[in-house]
Parts: sequence; C-alpha cells; structure tokens
Amino acid sequence: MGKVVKQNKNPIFMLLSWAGKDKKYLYLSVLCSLISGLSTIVPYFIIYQIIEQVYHNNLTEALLIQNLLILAISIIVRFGLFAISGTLSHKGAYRTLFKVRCQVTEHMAQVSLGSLNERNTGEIKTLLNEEIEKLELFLAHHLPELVFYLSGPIAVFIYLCTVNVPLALISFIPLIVAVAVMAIMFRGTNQLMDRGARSIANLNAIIIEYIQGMRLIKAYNMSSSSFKKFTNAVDDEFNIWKEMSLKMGPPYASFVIIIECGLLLMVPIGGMWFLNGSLTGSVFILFAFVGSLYLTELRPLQELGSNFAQVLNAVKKCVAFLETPVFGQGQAFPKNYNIELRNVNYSYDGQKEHLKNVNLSIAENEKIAIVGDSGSGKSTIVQLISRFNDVQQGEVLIGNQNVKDIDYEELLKNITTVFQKTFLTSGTVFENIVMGSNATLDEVRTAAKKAQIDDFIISLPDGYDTRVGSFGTRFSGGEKQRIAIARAILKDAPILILDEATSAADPENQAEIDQAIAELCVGKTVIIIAHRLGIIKHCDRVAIVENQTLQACGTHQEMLEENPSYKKTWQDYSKAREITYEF
Amino acid sequence: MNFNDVVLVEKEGSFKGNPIYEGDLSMDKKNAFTKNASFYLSIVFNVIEGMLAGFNFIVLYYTINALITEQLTMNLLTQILSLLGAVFVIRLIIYAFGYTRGQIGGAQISRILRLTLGDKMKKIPLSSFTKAQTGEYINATTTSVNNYENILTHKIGDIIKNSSFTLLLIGFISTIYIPAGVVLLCSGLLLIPTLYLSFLMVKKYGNQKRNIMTSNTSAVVEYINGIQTLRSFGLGGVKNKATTSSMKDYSDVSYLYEIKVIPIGTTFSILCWLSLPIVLYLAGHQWLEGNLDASSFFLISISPLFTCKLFGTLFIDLTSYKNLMIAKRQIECVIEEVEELSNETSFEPEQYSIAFQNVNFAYNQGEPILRNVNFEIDSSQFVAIVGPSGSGKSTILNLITKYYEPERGDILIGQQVIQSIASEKVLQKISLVDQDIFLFNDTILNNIRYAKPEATEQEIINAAKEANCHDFIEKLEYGYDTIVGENGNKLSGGERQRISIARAILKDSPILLLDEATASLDIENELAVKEAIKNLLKKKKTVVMIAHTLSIIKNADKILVVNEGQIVEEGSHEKLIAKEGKYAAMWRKEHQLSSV
Repeated sequence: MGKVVKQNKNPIFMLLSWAGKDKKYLYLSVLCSLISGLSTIVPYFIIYQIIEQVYHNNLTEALLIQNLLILAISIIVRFGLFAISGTLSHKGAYRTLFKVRCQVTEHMAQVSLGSLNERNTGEIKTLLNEEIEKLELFLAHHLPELVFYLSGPIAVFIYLCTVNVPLALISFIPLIVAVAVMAIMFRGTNQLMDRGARSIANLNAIIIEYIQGMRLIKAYNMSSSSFKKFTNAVDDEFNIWKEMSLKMGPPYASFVIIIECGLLLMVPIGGMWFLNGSLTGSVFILFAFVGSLYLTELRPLQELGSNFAQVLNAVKKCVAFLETPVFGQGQAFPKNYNIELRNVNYSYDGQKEHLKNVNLSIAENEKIAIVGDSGSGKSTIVQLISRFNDVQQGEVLIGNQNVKDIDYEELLKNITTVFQKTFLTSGTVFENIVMGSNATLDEVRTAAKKAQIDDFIISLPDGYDTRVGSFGTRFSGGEKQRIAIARAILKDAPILILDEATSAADPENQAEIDQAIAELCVGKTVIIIAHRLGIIKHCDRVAIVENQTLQACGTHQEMLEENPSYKKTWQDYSKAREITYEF
Repeated sequence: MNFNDVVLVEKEGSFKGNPIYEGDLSMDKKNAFTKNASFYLSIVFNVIEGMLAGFNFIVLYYTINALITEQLTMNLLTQILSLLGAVFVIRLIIYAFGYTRGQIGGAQISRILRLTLGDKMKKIPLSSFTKAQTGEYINATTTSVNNYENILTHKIGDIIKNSSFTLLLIGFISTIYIPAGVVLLCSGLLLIPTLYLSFLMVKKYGNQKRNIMTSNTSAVVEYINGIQTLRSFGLGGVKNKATTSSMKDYSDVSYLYEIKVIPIGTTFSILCWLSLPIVLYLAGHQWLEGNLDASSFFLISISPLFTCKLFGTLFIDLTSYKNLMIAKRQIECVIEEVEELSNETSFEPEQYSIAFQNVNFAYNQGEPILRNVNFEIDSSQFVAIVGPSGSGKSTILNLITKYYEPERGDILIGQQVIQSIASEKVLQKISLVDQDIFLFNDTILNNIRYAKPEATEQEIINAAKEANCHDFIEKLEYGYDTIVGENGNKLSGGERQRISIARAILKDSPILLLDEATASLDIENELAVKEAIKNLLKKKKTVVMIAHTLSIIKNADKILVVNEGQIVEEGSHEKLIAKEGKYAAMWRKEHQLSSV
C-alpha cells in the first residue's frame, strides 16, 4: 500500500473541511450571533443606567431619550443580526450538506461494485437521507445558538467581575449548582436510558409486525393473543418511561428553577454589604437586578446537548464511507476474451473463506454454466470476473491480463452483466435500452426484436417513449428481463455474465425469454449462473461449485457420470418438471 | 373506559376461540384523547409555579423601593431572605412535581392512544390493509402519537402558564399606569398577525419544500438502487450529475424556505421589544413630571423584559400547537375508519362449494379487474385457474379470503353469501399459500403452531416433515426453537415458503387456496416445495390453485381459463384441448419449448 497520510480525523475539522469555501458563511453566522448575543444584555444595562440616574436624581429628558435610542438600536441590531446569522448558517449548512452528499454519490461512482451490494446500499441510503440531515441541525442551529446564548451571560459575568469580584462570583453559583445537579443525574441513569431506548425500538417493531401481519392474524384467529403482545409492549414502554420520568424529571426540572434563584443570593448578601458600607447603592442595584437575572438567558441551553453525539456519529459514518478504496485506472482492455481464475482464494470480510483454491479456464466464445447451491460460492466466482472485489490470493485474468491492471471503467464497459433483478430507470423505454450510448432508434429496435420485446413495446400507448417511471410496476418480470436483454444485446460487449433466474412466474413468456437469451449469447464468451438446469444443455460446459470451491468442470454428460451430487440435482430437477398435482 | 383492567375473558356465547373483552373497547374519538389526572395536575402546578415566579419580580421591586426610600434594614433583608428561600423551595418542589407529572400524564395519554389504535386495527376490514394504508396506520401509531405527546407535554403547559402570567402582569402594570399596560398588551396582540403570516408562509413554502424533497429522495434512491447496473453501462458519472442537480434543487429550496420564514419572526420580535423603549419613555416622562414614584417607575421598566420574552416563547409554542393539531388529525383519521360490520352470524356450512355470481371488482376506480365473473366449484373439487399475467387470477383468491370485497355480485361458500360474515370466521375455513408470506418474530415452532393453537408438538413436527421443512429446521442452531427474526428475515425465501405450507398442512382446513408459482421462486428447492404441495393435496378438500404452467395441473377436476377479467373457458383438460380455444393455444405454446 502507498503512503498513509495521517489526517486530522477530528469530526468538527472534517465537517469544516467539507464545507470548503462555504465555511465563510458559517464563520460569519457565528460572528453575527456573537454580536447579537452581546446585544441581549443592552436592555439590562440601559434600565440599570436609568434606574441609577433616578436613584441619584439626575435623569433628564435628554438623557432618557439618549438611552432609549441606544436601546432601540440595540434591539434592531440584536434581532436583525440574529436573523442574518440564521440566514447565513442555513446557507452554509445546506451548501455543506450538498457538498458532502455529492462527495458520497461521486465516490459511489468509483468504488468497487462489490462494496455496493444490497446491505451497503441500504446503509448509504440512510447515510444520505437521514444521517447527513442531522448535520443541518448542528450547523444551522446549534452552533450559532450556542454562541448566542453563551455570549451575553459571559460578557455580563466579565463585566460584573470588573465591578465587584466577590459578588460576581456569588452570582455565578446558581449555574454551578444547576450543572452539578444535571451531571449527577446523567451519571446515574445511563443504564436506564439504554433500557428506554430498547423498549421504544421493541415497541415500534411490534407495532409494525402487528399492523403488517393483520391479515395473518385474522386468518389464524390470533387477534386476541396478538393484541395481548401489542398491549404488553405498549405497557412496557409506558412503565419504563414512567420510571425514567420519576428518576430524571425532578433533576431536569430543577435546572430551570436553580438558575432563576440568583435573587436569593444577590439581595440578602448585596443588601448586607450595602448596609455595612462596602457597596454603593448603584452597585447593589446592579447586582440585585442584572446579577440575579442574567443567568436566566442560559435556560435554552439545556436542550442543546443531546443532538451532538448523533452529529459526531454521522460524520464518522461519512468518513468511513469516503475511505472505501477506489478501483482506478489501468491499461486498455485486452484483445482476447478468454478468462482464467488461478488459485483464487477470497474472503469478503476477512474472516470466513468464501472461495478456496479455485482454478477455472474459460476459452474465448465458450458458453459455460455455473451451478451450485446458494451459499456455495457460485455467484462470488462470477462476480470476481468483473472485479466486484479484489481477491486476496491468486489471480483473475482476462485475455491473460490480471484484472487489477485493467482500467476499471474499461473493464466494466467490456463485460455485460444481466442481473437477477432488472433495474429500470424512470426514463423512457428507449432510454432504458440505450443506457447513454448514441444508438439510433433503428439499432434499438433491432436489439429489441432479437430480445423478443419489440412487439410488446410497440403495443404500449407511447411505444418507445413510454415513461417507465409511471408504468414500471406494470411490466411483468419477464418483460423487464427482456428489456434488460435488449440492453445487453445493444451494448454488445464481448463477455457476458448472465444470472439466469428468469422469472418462473412468467412462464407464458418463457419461450420468448429463451429465444432472447440465445440471441444474446451469440459471439460472446458467456458465463451463466444456472438456476433452471435446462439451460445447461445449451452450454459447452458446466462448472459445479460446492463448499466454497470448484468441484468439477466438464460437459453435461461427463458431469452426470462423474459427479454424484450433480446427478442428484439433475434428477431432482427433471422430477420437478414432471410433477402433476392431483388428489 | 379504563385500559388498566384489560382482561381476556371468555364471555358467554362468544364465538369459540374469539374472546370478547370484559366491556367492549369501542373507543370513539373523544375517549381516545381523554386527558388524565396527572396531566391536569401538571398544568395546574405549572401555572402555580409560574405565578410564584412572579415573586422574584415583587421582591425585586420591594428591594429597590426600600433602597430608594432609604428603608433598607437588616430586618427587611432577613425577611426577604426567608421569603425568597421559602418560595424557592416551594417552586422547586412544585415544578419538579408538575414537570414529572406532566411527563407521566403525557405518557399515559400516548398509551391510551396506542391501545385504542391497536384495538381499532382489529376491527378495520382487511381490504383497508393495502400497502399504502398500512404505512399510514403505522405512522399514526408511532410518529403521530409521539409528536402529539411531545407537544402536549412540553408546550401546552407552557402556553397556559405563559399566557396567564403575562395577562396578570399586564393587568398589574395597568393598575399602576394604564398606558404602559396598553403598550404591553399591543405588543402581545402582534402575535395574531404574526402567527397568521407565519402559517401562510410555512404552508406555501413547506409544501414546495416537501415536494422537492420527495422527488429528490426518489432520484437519490433510484441512483443508489441501480448503481451497479448504471456503472456497468458507464453511466455512473452521468447519472450522478442528474442526481447532483436534484440534490442542489433540494438544497436551494430548503434555503428559500428559511429566507421566507425567518423575517416574520424577526419583525415580530423587533416590534414587540420596541415596547420596552416606548414604555420606558412614557413612564420616564411621568417620573420626570412627578406623577410617578421611582419604585413604580422601576417596576414598570422591567416588566417588558418579562413580557417580551414570554411573547417570544408563546410565538414558538403556538406554532408547535399547529403541529399538535396535525398529529391529532392523523390519529383521528384512523380512529374514524369504518369498521367491519360485526355480527354474530355463524358460519358452519355443511359443504364447501365456492361460487362467484356476477362478481365485479376493481382495485382502482375505472380499472376493472374482474367483470361479471361467474363460476361454480363443487365441494372437495380440485380446480385450477390459468391465464395470462394480470388477467385477474390472484384477485379471485383475494376475494374468497375477504381481503377485498366485490363491488357488485356475490360470493358464496357452502351456498352461503360470505359478504356479511366476519372475515375471521371465513378465514377459519381457508388456508392460503401464496407468494406473500408473513412470519412473526417468534420461534419456528410457534410460527407453525399459529395455524392450529391446540396442536401437539408431534403434530407440528409431522406437518413440517410433510412440508419438507424438517431437515433444514433441524440443521439450524436451535432447531424448532430458532427465532426467525423480523418477518422471518433469517430464513431464505424457499424456507419461508415451506413453513407456509407446513402451516397449511397443520391447519387442514376444508378450503385450500394456492398460487403454485411459489414452487418456482426458489429453483434450488423446487422439488422439495412441489412435493410439499403434493402432500397438501393428500386429503380431499376444495382446492383452488393458480397455475402458471399447464402441464402441472392437467389432472385437475376442472380448469378455469381467465383472460382480461373474465372466465373465457372452463372444463377438464381433455375437454379444453378438444375445444381448440385459448387453453389449447396456451398448451401448444408451452410444449413448443424443448424440455428446458
């Protein structure tokens, strides 16, 4: 492996680096909310100023108006800047989210196809839709709000310190007590919160099962027992929540009250010091008024904490995905299309061996079928040919060149895979067959005719311009598959991999599908993952995969004679074909 | 109606195996949303605490007053200390108690709502449980209830507390100096146009945002779902561009939403807070002219600090209140669903013939699937239904199981019209084996047992053996006690098929409905599944089987040929071949294939 550059993996740093040029919006937003936060204390000071002037009896109309103008301006500044801060933070946040999402989708266009299997794509969906969205809450709201709520009180505290340090420190006590109470509460309740989270997850799963399974519940007359399971889950959740409320409610609530009790300390202590002459009247007013109330501005901070952990998590997941290796450039695609697997050993997760010691040679233009039970490794062998993943040991060669050395895009262009499940885009039928190439309608129709689907397409209301998106679900499995075959015929790549689980639920089209496949296989090296064994008769050889390795390879007749498990599989298959139902 | 005492009690005369609860749980809208003692208590305590918060206000006034009038003494300070101390302690207790009660009260409301919804689900006709609808029901029971509880517990109490406190404060200030009170009141009344504008903007731009979000999500999902295919055609980058532009649209519209909505709150806040300098000016003027004493002036000056903050909170809370109403509506929609006509008509036919008389049905208006379908199936007859895909075959089964109701026409079982009979009673007599298999998150043994609760373990194992499940079950780590995961996600498709057949074998009902395509969904196990189906047919019963290949059902007693929603031919295999019609053509086509 090449040099590993140690990056600063701090999540916040990553987030900011993804923001790139849009960082400026976030910084500006924080600046605005800082100034806005500072201006929240102006009203307190203006009122204090006025009261002091009243106390000393030197308030005049002019002074009054002067103060009030400052006040009015500060109000406009406070809310105006807060709005600007919000606007900027949202702009920065949404742009950053967009950039992060783009990075993910771009990366998806470059990683190995193997890392894009179903489970992973499910995770990527969650990442793109839900996890990244959590970042918005942090960037657009929490970050500026944190600065906003903290700046005022901190400024006041600093100011109070310049006036009278002991009293300033005393004014701070309620906050310390409140935070201590919250900390103690959180420490003792981790287990309880875990139980709570599990109970909610359980409840949701049971609700879903109850509703989705209602038909079965009625069919088996399970209404009452299922309902009992349902009510038990509801009650469980309620009981845990009740327990949590009783334990965590009081401390949580006390935070609010405690930070409001500044007066309890300021008035008696300040008053006492005033009475014994260590404090002037003005200072006493300052602390009794401003000193007792400024901490209440911190109240909204109580709710800000919980989201932060989720944000960190989301960033970590993004980073993890963006670090999956990319299969990059390489040499041109070779001129020959023979395929070879030499001493291949492969494991998907590094623990279980998915393929052991596989040796297989496929000649150019040969048609070979691969059979085996699910989990035997047959799909894996085929995937390695198109370099879904890299093998740990051994080599995969096409035209005597290691696939690792071939340019990945070129490789994918020269191999066509027809998957079990056909993917159709929401575009037109024409677009779905053309798949980005410059083919003309005539060329498309020729391919469709070979795929035995041209008649069907012409019969659609808009023919080749019919939008699949609105129509998609109404294509039968067999029709979708023939569209996929038309695509493959048009693409005309020299190597074809066919996962032949042609829909059994569409047997009236079976003849057409078989014809289409026959057309498709002409002039190519073909590897078929055979499910319906009948297709083996159209192949040159069959390879039997069992227990993560290649057991045998030869013609159908040879295998029938030499391999007992193949013989049995074939016999079962024929037997299944002959079954008729009757009483 | 109290859910605390839900007890399953077999009531006299209740249908066997279907107990009715002590006191029928027919909740209507009102009852479901009943608030409870905890909740009301918490609101009361919340308000009391709010009022006590005013004490700070009053004490401050007296302190400043004492200072200005030079009446500040140690004595006074001690009194203030004890008073504040007492109030502090009382507030602590009351608020802690009220807050906790509020949480618990809210949770109780959620509990009742969920139980109501769960009870309601049992009564809704099965035809309502389409994929889209089930999604809505699930949302209502999970998300809507959560939102409702959240807003109820956190916001309602605050709204009441804050509104009452501000009104009291404004009233109090007015007794000292009316113009100040008027200004404060006006600043509060600004809430009305603000909320109105805010709702308008949120609705308009919220909808825009939602629409773009939906299309963005589908673009992203399409890209992700098809990524392997797209990349094998070199479209990874190009498609990515389209996806990128869709994500940009979403980003832009999200920002637009904020731009439209933020200024409203800002304008309100500025106008509201301007009441502070205005009040200060008016009161200050009065003081300068000697009409107002210093302490009162002070009192009036600090009141806007409280009212403005509270009005700001009220704005946010009242906006949330709207979401509360939305969540409530979503829940009500489900509660208001029409229920199946419950009735006590018994259903114990003597024979199990099935007849369709002039049956018409469409899933969507204007797209009829079945038109004037008429046929008769004798009791214990094996009938196959064949025809092109989309012709209506599965719909026929769905109507027999009462998953859907015909628009016109009658369906009879044992010569009794089933329309007016409770679906449970009809389903009792039917086993359905099709491509839709639902397993509960329970052991394999129990999942099969549901078909016949009173079965012994040996009976269940025998059924599993007949269904060719026994072997793969024994190979699992815990055998029959293995938990199958959510909807059986730990088992393969073929294994789930066979469990479904085991259920049917165990239940041994007089009617069997089967879609034989299930066998071919898992080619590896095709033989095992087909032999399991053969075992299902060991005992004579009324069998309706949808077949996709003709050779497999050529020995059926009768074959119904369906095309475009109508029965076009019927008869035995030989009779239909001789007819040289649709069936014969299908047969010929099927046998054109070399044995593949």
